[in-house]
Amino acid sequence: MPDNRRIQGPEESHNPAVFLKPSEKPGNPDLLNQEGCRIDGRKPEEIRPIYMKTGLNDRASGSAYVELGATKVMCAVYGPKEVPRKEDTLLQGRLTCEFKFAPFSCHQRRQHQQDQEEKEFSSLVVQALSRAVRLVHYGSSCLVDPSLDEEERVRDGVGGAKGHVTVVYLSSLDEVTSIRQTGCMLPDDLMMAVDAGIESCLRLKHRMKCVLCT
Amino acid sequence: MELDFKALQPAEYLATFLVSPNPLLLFSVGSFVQEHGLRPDGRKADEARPVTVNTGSVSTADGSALVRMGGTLVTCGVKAELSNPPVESGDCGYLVCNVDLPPLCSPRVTPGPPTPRGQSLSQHLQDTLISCRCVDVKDLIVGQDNLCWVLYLDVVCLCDNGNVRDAVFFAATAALRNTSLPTVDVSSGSPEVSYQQRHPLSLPHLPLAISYSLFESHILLDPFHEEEELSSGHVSVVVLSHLKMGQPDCKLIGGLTKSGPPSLPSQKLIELVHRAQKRARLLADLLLTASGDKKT
Repeated sequence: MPDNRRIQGPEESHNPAVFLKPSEKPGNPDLLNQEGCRIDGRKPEEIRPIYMKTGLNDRASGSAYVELGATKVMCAVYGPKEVPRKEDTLLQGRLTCEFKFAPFSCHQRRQHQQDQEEKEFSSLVVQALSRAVRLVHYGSSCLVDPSLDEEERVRDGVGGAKGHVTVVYLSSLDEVTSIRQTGCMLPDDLMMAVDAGIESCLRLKHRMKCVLCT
Repeated sequence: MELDFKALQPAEYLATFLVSPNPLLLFSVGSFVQEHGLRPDGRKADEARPVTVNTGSVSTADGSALVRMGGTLVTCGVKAELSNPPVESGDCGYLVCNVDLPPLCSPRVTPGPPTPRGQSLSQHLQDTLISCRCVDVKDLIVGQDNLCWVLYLDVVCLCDNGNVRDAVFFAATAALRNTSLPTVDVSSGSPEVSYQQRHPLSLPHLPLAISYSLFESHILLDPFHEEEELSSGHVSVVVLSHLKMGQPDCKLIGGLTKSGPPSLPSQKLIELVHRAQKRARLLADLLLTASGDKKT
């Protein structure tokens, strides 16, 4: 659909990865090798190095920048503000969230307009109000904090992966506020994934405390 | 008390800082600096905020840069895709620039389609890169066949603390210098892309924008957001920088816009252009150091 407010390119353009030389294509190895290590050498329950910093955006009421391995996310909180329309007035406050991938942030270039996946992430954040840990379920073990390659393999159904589980956990209340699962797995596998998620949330919480209290 | 004055009368608050003892000095050629006037953040009128640049940190992009000018934070990514050349002029590729000012960057921005300000920044960047031949679209043709590169240059403002235009141009320039395209082999009929063999873009020169805002009778370099909002006029100079024997050379002017009151004598405008060339030289040196190409 032509977007008159943005500069448009050609109607159709292709990711050069589609034409990759056969010698450079990834060999589609399994997600876990014989020693039980992942493609990037991590153990299944290991999270990538985390970097967190708050206050980088001085226009916002609060902001945070987080790096999980090579994944970089910036968040800013503005408010409290008045509701834009009188008919939206509620007795209690409302939290809205807008999540957007930058166009250059994924292997396949993203459009400028928010698509369904981004809208779903936005509503997940609103529901959760907490940090989440994504898991990839593989066989009888869970791969915590999947990298982009691992997620793509799960999506393509290769390497024996069964699906994705995202767990949102409030550590001070010891409550799981939201679980989102895709793929096919047995209930026992799902509960194992949720337990692994809670454990990783607790580790992340410890790291966050160090950053916020200094 | 001071914050009440700032909230109720922002223009007077700013003017109190900038007041000069001798009004005759304001427009005389050669005395740009208000000798006793300082801005609320302690800078003189012709002093800019510290600039930092970081290139190549986005692994999913073919070229990327993150620029910080004081509190303004802007990131740019270049992604290259393959397509057929345009029908009208079959021997060139495409360059598509877009500047995004998301709700993340400022409390005044609401979610929705691009505002006129965002659209104008996108168009300014696109026009400058094409008309000044900073990126030669004829170089984006692949082989002899009907195949070309499309360079999508997307700039996202992460924090708008004033002077977004300068930060956008600097980030775009840094990202283009950081961009490398995969090699495409078309000898066998269908294209074969190699990510391991990459070559940099051919960039004859690159644009750097230097902006001033005109507040009453003062000319402020690199305004922060409160100064920008209170200013009635703006001047932007785009200087083209290219490498001459390993050192940046910033003589050509790639664009000049002056809008809003007060009117300036032409001598003053020329002086602003000279100052902009000097500042562009500093920015170009910084970029050279950041990309590791500086030869001492």
